[in-house]
Amino acid sequence: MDDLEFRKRASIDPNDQSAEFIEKTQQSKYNQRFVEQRLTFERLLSTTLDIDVPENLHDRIILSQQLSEHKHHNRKMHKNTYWWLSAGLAASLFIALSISLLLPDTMSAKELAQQVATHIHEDTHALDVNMNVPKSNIDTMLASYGGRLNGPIGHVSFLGRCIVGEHTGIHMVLDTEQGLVTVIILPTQSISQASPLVDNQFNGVVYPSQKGSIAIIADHSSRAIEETHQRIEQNLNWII
Amino acid sequence: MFSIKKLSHRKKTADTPVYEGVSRKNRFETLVKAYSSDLYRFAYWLCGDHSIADDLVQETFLRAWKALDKLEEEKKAKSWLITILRRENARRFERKRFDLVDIDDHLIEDQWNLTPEQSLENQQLHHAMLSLEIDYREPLIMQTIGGFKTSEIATLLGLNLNTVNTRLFRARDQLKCKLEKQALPVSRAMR
Repeated sequence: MDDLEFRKRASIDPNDQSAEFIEKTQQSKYNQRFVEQRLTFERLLSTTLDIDVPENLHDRIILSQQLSEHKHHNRKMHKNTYWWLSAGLAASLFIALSISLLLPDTMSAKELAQQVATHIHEDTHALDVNMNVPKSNIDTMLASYGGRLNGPIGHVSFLGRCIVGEHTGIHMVLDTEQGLVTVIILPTQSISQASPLVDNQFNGVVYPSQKGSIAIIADHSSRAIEETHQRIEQNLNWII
Repeated sequence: MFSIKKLSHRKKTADTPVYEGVSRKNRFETLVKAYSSDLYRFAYWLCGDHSIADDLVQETFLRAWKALDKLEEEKKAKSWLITILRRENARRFERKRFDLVDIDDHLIEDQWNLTPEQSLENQQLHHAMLSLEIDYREPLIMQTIGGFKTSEIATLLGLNLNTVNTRLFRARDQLKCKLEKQALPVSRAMR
């Protein structure tokens, strides 16, 4: 190996462990110094690339897989229904839909509230982290649903996508004066009226929104819920 | 503050990557345990955003779960997962959901075990990495985070070996130039 080849290989892979490279390195103090300089930079690069990984990543991946499997299983079961059962179901659905158009959509809002409560119980990690989320990250996530924030909503300690029932949404935790408040934005899940979310560990409300619905959950502080809801509605803008 | 009772976590099983006789679910969990952290880091350095990286990794493992039977050998798992992740990232661009990441908005957490000078150096290199062109950044992170040999990188990227070598050479060279421009105190690596 000539000197040019040696320097090139040291620049491509300073950790080259091939016998000929190591032998060439040992041939002179210049070569050793040359490789050591590159290894010093390599150690800095390695430290820089070794960023922190979210603590609960592993668990969330497993949870996503389980939810996906659950949905897949339900879809498979539906395919096995006899056609006349499908026809009967379609007829029942038509009748139910006709009735529901006349009545307020209270059941679905209550059902959504229950689904949100279940999700809060399953997603406890969101309250344990402080990601210090910049507004740009929130906008990036909202953009995928056609929304954005017009102004600040406060200190956001957690931001992530979530699954509530059959719908995806955005899960945030705000650090307010009254304590931590969870905000779940569900742009694809509409309700016609607000519904309380009652649980022995927290309180909340699911509100209809310009697009979909928003759930606000806090410790037993209705003021925190109302103020946060106001702040979100004032600053959340749906473009599409 | 909430005081919600934490759900208990299931005990992990099947530590050894032996697939015969091991259930599909255990096999999947083994992959997640072994590769999710590196995959997250790879995804972050590919897209430059923690939220997007998180989404990419989630989608990658969902697809991996569905196609798990196609993975014949555990030793191919890392390159298989990287391939899936790269495809997911490409789909993100096809859906025109690529979001311009403002590097300056990134809050880079200090690593607690570094001196202030090292921490500054670390932050500057972090910015330099994110500003590196993707054609140079990707082979570099495959080599450093993925631990792939240059021949393996060539296969994964569909490039010839010389092209990969040139990109790795230029990637490191460009990073050093960017650091010099940021008036980093001269370290031994720069001389």
